[in-house]
Amino acid sequence: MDREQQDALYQEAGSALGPAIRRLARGYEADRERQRDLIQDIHFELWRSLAHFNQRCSLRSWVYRIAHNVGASHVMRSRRTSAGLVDLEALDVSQPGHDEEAQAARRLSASELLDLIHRLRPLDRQVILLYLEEETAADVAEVTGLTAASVATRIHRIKKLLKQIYTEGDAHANRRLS
Amino acid sequence: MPIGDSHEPISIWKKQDEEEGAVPIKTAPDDFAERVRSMERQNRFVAWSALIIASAIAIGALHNVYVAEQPWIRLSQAWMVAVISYIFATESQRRGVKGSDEPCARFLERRHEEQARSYLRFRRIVPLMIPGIVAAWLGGGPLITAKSSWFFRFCAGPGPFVMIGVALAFLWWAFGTAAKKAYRDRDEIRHRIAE
Repeated sequence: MDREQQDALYQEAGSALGPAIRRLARGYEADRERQRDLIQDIHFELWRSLAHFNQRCSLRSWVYRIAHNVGASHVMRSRRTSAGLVDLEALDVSQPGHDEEAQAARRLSASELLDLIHRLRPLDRQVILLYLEEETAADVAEVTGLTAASVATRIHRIKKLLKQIYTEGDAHANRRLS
Repeated sequence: MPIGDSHEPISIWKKQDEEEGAVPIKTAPDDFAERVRSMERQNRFVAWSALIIASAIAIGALHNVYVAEQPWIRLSQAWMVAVISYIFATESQRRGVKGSDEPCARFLERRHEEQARSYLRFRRIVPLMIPGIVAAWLGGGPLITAKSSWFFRFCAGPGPFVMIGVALAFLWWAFGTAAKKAYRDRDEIRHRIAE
C-alpha cells in the first residue's frame, strides 16, 4: 500500500473513530497528561499499521484491535511500577455547567464507571469498553479473539454489575472486580 | 439496555467528551512519518552504542587473555568474551511490538509468552557467568585487584565468592519467579480464549 492510500485510510478511521479512541484511552489511563500520550501513541501505531491493512477484518475492528493492543501494552508497562493501580484522584472532573447538581451526579457516575474499568484486567477491560461503545457481541468477539458465547456471557455479567452500581447503589459491587 | 435515566452507563460514557472537553493531539500523517524516521535514527544509535560498549569490554578482556600470566585468569577473560558475544547476539535480535493488528486476546497471550521467554533468557545468562567467576577466583583475580590491606584480607577469604554466589542465586530465583508469573498470565488468557 502506498503512502497516499495509507493516509486516506487513516483519515477515514480517525474521523469515524477518533472520539471512541479518546474514550478508550480514558479506560486505560487516568492521568490526563499520560492519556494524551496514549492517544497519540494509538494514532501513531494505527497510522503505521494501516500500511499493511489486509482487509481480512473490517477497518473498524482493525482500529479497535490496534487501539486496545496499544492500551493493553500501556497497562502491562505501568503495572510494573504501580502494581496495577491507577490514581483516580488525578481525574479532572471540574467544569461546572448550567445544571450543576445533575451534572455533578453524572460526573460522579462517570468516575465510578472509570474506577470500575481501571480495576479490570486488560481483556475484561476491552470487553466493557467495546460494550460501552455499543459494539455487538460478534464485533467484540472479532476484536478480542474471544468466542461470541464468551463475550455474550461477559456482557451479561457487565450489565448485571452496572445495574447493581447504578440503580441499586450496591457499594460492594465494585469490590467484586478488585 | 435501559438501566436508569441520567445514570445510564452508555450515555454517561459517551458524554465524557462534552463534559471534560476533547484532548488536543497531533494526528498529522507527516508528523507520524517524522516520528518513524526519528525512531529509526534512535534505534541505530542504540544499536551502535551497544556494539561499541560490548566491543570495548570484549577487547579489554581479549587484551587480558594475552597479557595475563595466570592461566585461570586467561580462561576467565576468554569466557567473558564468549558470554558478551552471546548476550550481544541474542539481545540484538529483539524487537518491540506495541501496536499489533492481532485479536487482543492473542496479542496479550503472545506478550505474556514473550515476557516469560525474555525472563528465562536473562536467567540463562546467570549460570553462564559461573565458570568465568570460578576461573577468576582460582587464578586469584580478587587479590590482584585488591588495593588496601583490609580489602586484601577480605578478598583472600571466601567473602567475595559467597557474595557473588548469593547475588547470582537471587537473580536466578527472581527471573524464574517472574517467568512463572508471566506463564500463569498467558495460561489464563489461553483459558479465556478456549472458553
